[in-house]
Amino acid sequence: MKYRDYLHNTPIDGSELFRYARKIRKELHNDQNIPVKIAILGGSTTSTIKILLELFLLDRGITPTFYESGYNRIYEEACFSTKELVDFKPDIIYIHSCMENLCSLPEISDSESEVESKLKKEEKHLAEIWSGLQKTLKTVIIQSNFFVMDYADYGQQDRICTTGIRRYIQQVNQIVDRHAIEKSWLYLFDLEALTAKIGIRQCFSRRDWYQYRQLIALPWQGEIAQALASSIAQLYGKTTKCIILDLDNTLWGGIIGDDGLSGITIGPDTPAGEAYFQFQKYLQRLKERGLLLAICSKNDKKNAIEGLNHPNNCLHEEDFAIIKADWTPKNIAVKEIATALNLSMDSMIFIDDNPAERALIRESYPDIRVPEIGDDPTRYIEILEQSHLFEYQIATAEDLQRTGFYQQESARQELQKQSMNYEEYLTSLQMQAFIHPFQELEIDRITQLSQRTNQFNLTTRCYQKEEISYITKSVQYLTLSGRLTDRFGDNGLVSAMIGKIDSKQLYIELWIMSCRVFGRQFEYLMFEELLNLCRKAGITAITGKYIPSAKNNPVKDLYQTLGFHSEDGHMIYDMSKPLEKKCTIIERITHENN
Amino acid sequence: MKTIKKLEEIFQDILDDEAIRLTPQMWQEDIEDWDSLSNIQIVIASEKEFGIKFTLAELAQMHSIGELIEKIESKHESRS
Repeated sequence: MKYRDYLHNTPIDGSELFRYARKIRKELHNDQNIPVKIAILGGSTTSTIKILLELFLLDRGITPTFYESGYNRIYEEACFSTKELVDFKPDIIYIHSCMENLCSLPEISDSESEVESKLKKEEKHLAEIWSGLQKTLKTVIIQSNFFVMDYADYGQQDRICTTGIRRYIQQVNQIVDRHAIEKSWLYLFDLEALTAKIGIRQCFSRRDWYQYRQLIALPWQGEIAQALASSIAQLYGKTTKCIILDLDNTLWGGIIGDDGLSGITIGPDTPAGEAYFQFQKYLQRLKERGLLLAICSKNDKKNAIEGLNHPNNCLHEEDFAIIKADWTPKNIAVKEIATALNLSMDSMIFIDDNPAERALIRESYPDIRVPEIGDDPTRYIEILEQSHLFEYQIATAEDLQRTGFYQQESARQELQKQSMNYEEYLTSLQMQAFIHPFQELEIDRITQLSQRTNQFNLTTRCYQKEEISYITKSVQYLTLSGRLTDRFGDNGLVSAMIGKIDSKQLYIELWIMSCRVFGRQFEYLMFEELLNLCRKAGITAITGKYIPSAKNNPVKDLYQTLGFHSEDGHMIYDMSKPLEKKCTIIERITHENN
Repeated sequence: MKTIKKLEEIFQDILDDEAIRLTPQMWQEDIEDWDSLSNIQIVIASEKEFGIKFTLAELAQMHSIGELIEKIESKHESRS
């Protein structure tokens, strides 16, 4: 794991970031980043959030330098142009204020008109801060809005009572909104919504407030800093422009290649189907807002299209700018998508339920965003929302020019060099295989695998439990089941072979492998193990047959690849020929403890 | 692992200095980078590492490694 990965967890753990901040910073150092000068004016402590903000900006290709105002001296520094601040010449000013920094809060005894005049005073005060800064520094200002720290005097009625604190803060926030709409150089940082999302009880701590004057409890400053970094990155054109999506178990439940059109889960008719449907709808709204959608799926193209044309989908074939569905490793496919759409890696995000694919992409292209989306469709939206990747770009070139703000050309190559090739990646998976003849306890799983595997299935023969049970015990058969683990965990029993012995010949009746582990060399290891068994059993030749079906196209050349030769419509492997070892990466474990 | 060893790793991570060795006798002044900002980081990282939360009173008396260890260990005991 790289230290920078702490920046991409959901939820973000600020405690970890504070611990590894220096190490992350070192790892992210890059001379080609855009330098940005940020002045933070704080009504509370800002030194900690600054540390985290720096990390998230570095991660987005921006190297910040900071100016911090004196503690709670926002108004003074804004209106009386502090020399240090003027000399610093900030590109961006961030005002981190809170309700304690307001001129006054309503008292219980206040009349309606007294509250009104307090609000007027508040608006005047804020407007003076903004125009004071704008006048001398002529640059973009990001203003955080306000949230109620914890209690309110009037319980559920606080929002409608004259002197209710919630009513007051709500009205102050409306003032901020109004000015942000009017002033092209004033941007909103919606701390109220962010803290509400996280939950005030978690992200406001009276201990951290009294002890350190921290507006946000320290462990939650990570997510706030991440959102702020996204707001700033957006000003430099660093936004997400394209979402690359997997299909199976990402846009719908199940595997189209194995389960077929009627077997996949999609559509509002079932709870699980609705989860996928609503995720598609979420993506569709992003698409309408201007993002591109792309597919990157290990599937036969015709299966992918068939799935996308399922009538219960919210998204359809035409919603995607590009549909890449084949069996090339995803790191290559993603690069092809980037090239085709002419997008840089840092403007794309990659969504896939398979952790190994996510790691491959993350390790191949450090700049592409790969949220830890998991494999639970009910959490996809939540996790994406938490990663703050879809910041809306409201700045126009004209706005930026007017405020003396300019976009620097990134010196980076359009496409990042791959840091790892596929073989190195496979090695990094630290795969371990457990291969042995069928065991009693595996019969159910093998039966199920034989019934459900349609793609890596040479004979597409279905077995019942009783047959597998019989074969397991019979001396007429050689069997092998394979389990594969990698550094992401145990993939479980993912492959099985059945061969029938007939006078020193072995006929492969079944060879299946779950599509989860395609492209990992596991099939080669299974075959080498079969050769070992055959040698011990005195077998002289192996016969295999590929029986084409609608879905097993991916394995049509497997026997040729393994060195079988064709003879009377069968594929024959001559046991006397020397073994060509094709699997070099998976470690085979012979003694299992569990 | 002993508390002091875990704490040593926290200091090493936060100050990015693998050479740091802690003894209970060390005071804040003895470690060059242990300023008020890194102190906040040390507190938060320790709370995470040991699964505890310091009170205001405890935070007020944490100026040496010995004091820090004592607070951490008494919290651990009272929990178990």
